[in-house]
Amino acid sequence: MRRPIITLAVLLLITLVLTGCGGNPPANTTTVTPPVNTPSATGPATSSSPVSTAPSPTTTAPPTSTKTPKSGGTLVMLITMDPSTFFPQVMTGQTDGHTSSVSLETLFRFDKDLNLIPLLATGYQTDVAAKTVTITLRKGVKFHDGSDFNAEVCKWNLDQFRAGNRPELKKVTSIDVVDSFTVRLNLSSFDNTIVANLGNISDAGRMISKQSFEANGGKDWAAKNPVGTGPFQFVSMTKDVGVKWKRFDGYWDGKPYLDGIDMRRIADSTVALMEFRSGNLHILGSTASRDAKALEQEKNKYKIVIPPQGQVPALAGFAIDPNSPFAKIEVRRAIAHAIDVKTFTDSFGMGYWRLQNQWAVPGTWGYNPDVKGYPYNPDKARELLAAAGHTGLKAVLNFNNTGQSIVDENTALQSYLNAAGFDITLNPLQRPAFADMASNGKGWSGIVRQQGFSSPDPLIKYAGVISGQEFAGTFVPQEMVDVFNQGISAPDFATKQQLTHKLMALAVDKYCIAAYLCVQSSPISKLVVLQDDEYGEAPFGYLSPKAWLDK
Amino acid sequence: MVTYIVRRLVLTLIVLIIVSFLSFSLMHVMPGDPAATMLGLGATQDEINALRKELWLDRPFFVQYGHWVYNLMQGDLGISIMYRDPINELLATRLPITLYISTLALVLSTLIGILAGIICAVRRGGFIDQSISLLANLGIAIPVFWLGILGIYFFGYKLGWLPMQGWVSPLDDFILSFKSVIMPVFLLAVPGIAVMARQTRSSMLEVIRQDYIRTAFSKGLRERVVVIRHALRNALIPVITLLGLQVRVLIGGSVLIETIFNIPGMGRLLVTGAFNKDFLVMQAGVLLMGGIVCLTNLLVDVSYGWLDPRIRYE
Amino acid sequence: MSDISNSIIKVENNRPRTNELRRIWKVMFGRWVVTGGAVIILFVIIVAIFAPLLAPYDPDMPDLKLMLAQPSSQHLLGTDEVGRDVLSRVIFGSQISLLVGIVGVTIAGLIGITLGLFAGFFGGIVNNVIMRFIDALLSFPPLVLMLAIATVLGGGILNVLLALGIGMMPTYCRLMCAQVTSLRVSDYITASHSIGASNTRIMLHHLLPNAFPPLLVLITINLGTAIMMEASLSFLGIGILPPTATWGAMVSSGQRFIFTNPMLSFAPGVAILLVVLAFNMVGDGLRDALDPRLRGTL
Repeated sequence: MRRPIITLAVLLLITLVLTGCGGNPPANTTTVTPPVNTPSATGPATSSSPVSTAPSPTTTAPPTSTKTPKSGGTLVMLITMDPSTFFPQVMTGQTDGHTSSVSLETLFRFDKDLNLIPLLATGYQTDVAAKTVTITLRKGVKFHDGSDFNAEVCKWNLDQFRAGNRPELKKVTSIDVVDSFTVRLNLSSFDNTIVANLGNISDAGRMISKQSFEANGGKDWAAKNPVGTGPFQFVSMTKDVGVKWKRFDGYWDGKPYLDGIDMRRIADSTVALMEFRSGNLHILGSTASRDAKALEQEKNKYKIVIPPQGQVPALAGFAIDPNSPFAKIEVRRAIAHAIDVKTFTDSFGMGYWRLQNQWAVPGTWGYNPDVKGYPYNPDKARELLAAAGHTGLKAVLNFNNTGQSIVDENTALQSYLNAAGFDITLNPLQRPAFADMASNGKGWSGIVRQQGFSSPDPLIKYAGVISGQEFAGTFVPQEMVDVFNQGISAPDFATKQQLTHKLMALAVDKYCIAAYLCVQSSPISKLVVLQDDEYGEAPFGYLSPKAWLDK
Repeated sequence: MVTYIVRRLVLTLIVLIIVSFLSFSLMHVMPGDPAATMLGLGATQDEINALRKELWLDRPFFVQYGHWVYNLMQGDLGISIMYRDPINELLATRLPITLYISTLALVLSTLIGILAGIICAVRRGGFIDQSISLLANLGIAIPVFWLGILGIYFFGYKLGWLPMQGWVSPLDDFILSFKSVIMPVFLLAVPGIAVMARQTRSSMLEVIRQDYIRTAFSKGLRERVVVIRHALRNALIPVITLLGLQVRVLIGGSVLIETIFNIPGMGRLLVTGAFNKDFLVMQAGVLLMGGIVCLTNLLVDVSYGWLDPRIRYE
Repeated sequence: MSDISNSIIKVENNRPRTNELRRIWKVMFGRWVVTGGAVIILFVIIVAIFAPLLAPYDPDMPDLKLMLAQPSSQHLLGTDEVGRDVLSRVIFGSQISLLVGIVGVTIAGLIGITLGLFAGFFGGIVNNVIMRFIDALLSFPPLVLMLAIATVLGGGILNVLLALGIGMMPTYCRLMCAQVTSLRVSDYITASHSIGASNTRIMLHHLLPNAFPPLLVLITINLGTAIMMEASLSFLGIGILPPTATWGAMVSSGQRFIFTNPMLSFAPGVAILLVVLAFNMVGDGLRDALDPRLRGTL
C-alpha cells in the first residue's frame, strides 16, 4: 500500500513546515496547512488565513460511502463546451480550467467548505512587510511524461503565465527558487489574493510539464496536449465530440480507481438528458432546476448535488458615459427595485438557487448581512425613473446567449422592467460579441446582464470590474477602488473581511453599480453508481482522484 | 460533346470564382475584431496588431481576397479562430462524415422518391396518388428538428433500438455506425423523397401522354412493361437534373441534422463557426459546400448532355 | 385571380375566358388535399388578422407564478416555461409566420424577378453576368446561405427577413429568366417589337404577366419554405429575437419539456406543419391547374 505511506510522508513534511514557522512566526505571516486531518489544521495559523472562508470547521469530508472502492470503468460526463486550449496562460472562462483539472493540477484548491487547501503545494507563508509569498511544494510528484515537478518547473510555469497580459499575477515582480521545493514570489505591493489565485479558482497555478513543452515546440503544442501531474492523462480530443483521458498510474496520491474519463459534448440539452436517464452519462453537470426536481424523485438512480458556488446574475447599466441615462443613480436603483427577485429565484431556481443582494454569496465570509439592497417595488422604480426625468425609458438588455434557459430568465426580467416603466428590448449575443462587450466595453449601451461565477474570495472576482477589465462601462466610483485596494493589501483576515463588507455595501447601497439578483447554484446530477467523486460538491469542477464506479 | 464539356467547365470555373468571392466577402463584413477574438483574454494590443498583420487584416479588401485565394490554391485555409487547428485539417476530418451521411440519404431519397413518383403517375388522381403526395408534402412540412427529437425520444430513449446521438465511423464499428446513422440519414432524406417523388410524377405524366407510349399500349403491351421499359427511361432524364439540387438540399440539411444528432460534420462545424464568429471557418466551409454543389452540377450537366443529345446544342 | 387568368388567356388566347377560369378552378380543387390546403391558409390568415381578438391572453406577458401549467380550461394548451399562454402565442405566432412568408417572398420575388427579367430580355452579356452570379448563389445550400447572412447581420426580424429574401431570390431569377427567354422569341412579342413598343412596355406589360403562372406556383410554395427556414434559424438560435412569439422558436425552446409538457413543442410544431403543408398543396394544385402541358388532365 503506497498511499498511506505517501500520506504519512506528507503529514510529516507538513508538521515539519508547521513547526518550522510556528516556532517563532513573524507577526504578519500566515501559513496554510494541508487538508489531511492534521490536528493543527484547526489551529490559529489557519483560522487567520485570509482565504479561509470556513463557515464550518476545517475538516476534509471522509468518503461519503462506506463501501470499498472498486477499480475499473470509464467515467462518462457531459461537457457543454469544448475547451479552447490547455495552455494555462491563455485559458479563459470556466470550461478550459474545469475540463483540464483532472490532468493539470493547480498549486492549491478549494474544498467543499471553500477552504483553500494545498494540492501541488504543501503550504505557504506570506510576509506583508517583505511583500513576499513563499510556497512549499509537494515532493515526489511526477508529470505524465515522467519529468519531476519541482521549484524550477513551478517558477517556469508561473513565469509563463505572467508573460501574458493577465491580471491574476500582475503584482508579482519576480520569482525566486529558494530550494528545489520552495519558490518565493516577490510582489510590487502586498496582495492577499495572490495565493487564492494559485488555487483552482484561476489558471495561474496550473502546472504543466516544462520538459514536454520544450521538447515539442511550445505554446501551440501545449495548447492541444495537456501534460500535467493529475490522476488522468490526456488521450485525445475531438472538437464537438469530446475529450478522453486515461488513468495515470504514477499519480502522486495513489493509482486512481477509474480506468479513464470520457468527457462528451452533446449539443442538445434534451438529448443529453435522455442519455443521462438511460445511464449512458454518469455526470450530467448543471441541470435545469425542473429536470433536477424530477430526477430527485428517483433516489435509487440519481444523486443531485447543489454546489456551494454558482453564477451570480446582475444587471448593470452602461453608466460610465455621463450622458447615459444609467449614469443617474435613480435609474440604476429603479432597475433594482423593478425586479421581483424572490419570485424570480423561486420560480426558476425551484429551491436550488438562493437569494442575495450583493456580489458575495451568503454563507461565505465576504457576505455582508447589513447590505439593505432594493426590495421589489415597481411603484418606487417608476418614481425613481420619473425623478430622473424618464418615462418609458428605452434600453437594450444585452446578454450572453448560452442557451434557452437564459433567454427565459431574461424574458422574465424584461417584463419586470417594462412593468416598472422601462421599455426593454432583449439582445441575445453569442460569446465573442458578448465578450467584446463585457471585457472591452465595445458596443455596450443600455443594460448588460453580468454573469459571473461566484468565488470564495469576492475580491478576486471583483478585481475585473474594479480595474475596468470586466464589464468596462460599469460605473465604478473612486471610493470603491480605494476600498478594494485596501482590501487586497490588508495584512490580516479581519481587516480584509471588514473592508470587503464595506465594499459590498458601497457597491449596492451607496452606488448601486449593479442589481444583484441571486446565486444560481444549478444542481449537478450524477448516477448513484459514481462514488466519492466530490464533483459539484467541491467548487470549480474538481473531480476527486478517488472517484470510482460501483458496478 | 467535347465542346459541350469544355463550355460547361469554363462556366463552372467562372461560377466557382464568384462563389469564392461571395464566401470571402460575406464573412468579411462581420463585425468584431477576429484577431482579438482569436487571442482571447489577456492579449496585449501589440499582440493583436501583430496577428492582424499576420492575417493580412490590415490590408485593403481586394488584397486580402487575393491573398486568401492564393493561399487557397496552396491548400492553406488558415487557422481556425475557435479550434486553433488548420482549417484544411478540420475540413478533411469533417467533410467525409457529411458526405457519407449525405450520400446514403441521397441514395435513399432517390430510390424511394422515384418509386413513389412512378406509383403516383400510374395511379394519378386516385387515392394512392393523393395519399403519397400528401405524405411527401408532409415530409417537406414537418420541421426536421422536431421530428428528430421525437425520433430520438421514441427509438432511442423509449424503445432503446437506436443510439440517441453521436457519430461512430463505419471503419471502427460497422454495426454501431450503421445503427447510429439510421435516424439521421432517414431524416435527411425525407425532404428529398418528397421532391423526387413530385418530379418523377410530373415527368412521368408528361411522357405517358407521348405518342410512342400510346403506340406501346396499343400494341397490347402490359402496363408494367410500358411503364418500366418505355416511360421510365425517358421520364428519368429530367429527374437527373434534380440530383444536383438534391445535393444542395442535403448538404444544407446537414446543418440541422448534425446539430440534433451531435455528428461532427461540416454542418456542425458551420453552426459552431457561426456562433463563435469564426469567419475563417465560415468562409472555408461555405466555399467548400458551394464548390461541391458546383461540381455536382457540372457532373449532372455533363451526364444530362450525354443522355439527351439535344442539350448539347443549346 | 384576374391577373392570373389574364395571363393565362394571353398565353392561350384561343380559349374563351370563362372556360379557362372554370377549368383552373376545377383542376385546382379537384383534389381534396388542395381544397384542404386552401381552407387552412384561409383559416390562418383569419387567425393572424384577428389575433388580438382571438388570443385569450397577452402572448408576451410572463407569469412566473404559473410556469409550465398543464392544459386546463383557463389555458387550453397550458403555459410555457415563463408562464405565457401557449394558445395565445400560437395564435400570435401566425402573424410572424405569415409576415416572414410574405415579406421574405416579396423581397426574394422583387429582386429575383427583376434580375431575371433583365437577364432574359437583354440576353447576351447581361444575361451572362446576372446568371453566373445567380448560379453562384444557387451553389450555396439555402440554409447555409441564410446561416451565413444571419451570422453577419445578427438576429432580429429585419435581418432574418433579409436573409430569407436573399436566400430564396436566385430561384426566382432563374425561373423568370428561363420564362422570358422562351417568350422573347414568341410571335406575340416579335409583333409588339414591330409595332414599336418600348422595352419597358414589353417587359412590364407583356413579358411579366405571361411569365407569371409558374412564378405563382413558386411563390405559393416558397411561402411555406420561408416559414420553415425561419423556424430552422430559430432552432439554431439565430432567428427572430425573443420574446416575440414565433413557431420555430417555440418548438425549439419547448423541446426541453418534451417529457413533462409535450404541448409546448407539439402545438407550434403542428402549426408549422399544417401551414407549410397547406402552401405546398395549394402550390401543387396551382401547378397542375396552370401547367399548359397538362391542360387540366390532372
